[in-house]
Amino acid sequence: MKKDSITTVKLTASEGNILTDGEHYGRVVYLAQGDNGDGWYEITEEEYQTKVKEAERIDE
Amino acid sequence: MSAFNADNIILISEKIATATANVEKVFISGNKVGYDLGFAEGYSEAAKLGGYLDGYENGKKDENDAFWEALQKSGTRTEYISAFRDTGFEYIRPKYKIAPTQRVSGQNVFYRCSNLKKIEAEYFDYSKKERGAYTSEGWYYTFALSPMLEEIEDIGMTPEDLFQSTFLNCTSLKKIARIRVDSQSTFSDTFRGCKALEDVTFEGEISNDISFKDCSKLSYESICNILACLSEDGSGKTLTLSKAAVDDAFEFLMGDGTPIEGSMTGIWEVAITPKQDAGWTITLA
Repeated sequence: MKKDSITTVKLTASEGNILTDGEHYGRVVYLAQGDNGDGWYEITEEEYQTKVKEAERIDE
Repeated sequence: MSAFNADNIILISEKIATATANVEKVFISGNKVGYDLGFAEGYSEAAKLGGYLDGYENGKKDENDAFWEALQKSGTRTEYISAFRDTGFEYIRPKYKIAPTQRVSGQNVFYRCSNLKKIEAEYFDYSKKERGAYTSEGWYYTFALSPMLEEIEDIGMTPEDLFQSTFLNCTSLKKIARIRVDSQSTFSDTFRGCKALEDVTFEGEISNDISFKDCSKLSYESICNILACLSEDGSGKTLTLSKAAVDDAFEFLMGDGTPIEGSMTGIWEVAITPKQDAGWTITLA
C-alpha cells in the first residue's frame, strides 16, 4: 500500500477584505499544488468594488 | 324574462296594432325595427369581421415573409453580424433556419435585445461557422446586455479563440444548453453579470482563466461539469466561482434539512484537489 500526504493551501481573506493577485479576486483561494501564495495579498472590499465599477463602465 | 326580449317586443307591437286597428297610420316599435335590423346587420358585420381577420392574418403573414426574405436574402445569407442588435424581438423565428458560415457571424448578433426571451435550436445552427481569426470574430458580445434572455438552447456554438463578454449582463439567463470550447479558447468577462445562471454545460477543454464570480445560483451539476472540463495542465490558470454557489451546491442536507457535517469542505475539496494538482488555482469570490 502506498500512502501519500497531500497538502492543500487555502487562503481566506480577513473580514471586510478581498484577496487578489492583481488580476483575480476572491474571498477564498485554493492554491495550485506547489504555489506558496506569495503573490496574493488583501485589499479592502471598497477598493474591490471600485475596480468592479471601473470594469463595468467600460462596457456600459 | 328581459323587457327587451324579442318575443316581448313582438307581443307589445301586436298589442299596439290591435289597439290601434282603426288608426290610419301605425308606428311600429322602434325596438322591434332596431332588433330586426340589428340582427341582420350583426350577421353581416360578423361576416365582414371574419373577412377582416383573415385579411389581417394573411397580410401579416405576407409582411412577415417579406421581412424575412429581405433580411435573409431569400435564404442565401451566410453572415449575421449584429443582425438582431438593439431589436425588440421576444422570439426570433425566421423563415429560413439561420446557419451562418462566415467567421464574423458571432459578433453582436443578439446584443442588447431588450425583450428577447429564448434562443431556440429549431431556428439556429452555428455548427458550420468558420472559426474567427480576430477578436471580434469569435463569440464577441454575442448575447450581451439582453436582460430578458432566459435560455439558450444548443445552437451549435463552436469553439472559438475568444469568448469576449459573450453573455455579459444577461441578468435573467438561467440555462445555456451547450458551449463547445477547446484549448485555444479564452474567456474574458464571458459570464460577468449572469447572476441567474443555474445550468451551463461545456463540451471540450477549458485551458484558460475563466470566471463565474457573479453566478451565485450555479448548480452542483454545472460546477462539476466545469471542473471536469478544466485541462490537465492548468499551470498559472485560475478558475473563479461564486462562493455562494459553491456553498449551496456542496452542502448536502439530511432528510430533515440539516446540513451533513463536513459535507461542504469534504466533497468540495475532493472535487478540486485533482485540479489543484494539475496547476489550477481556484478562487471563490
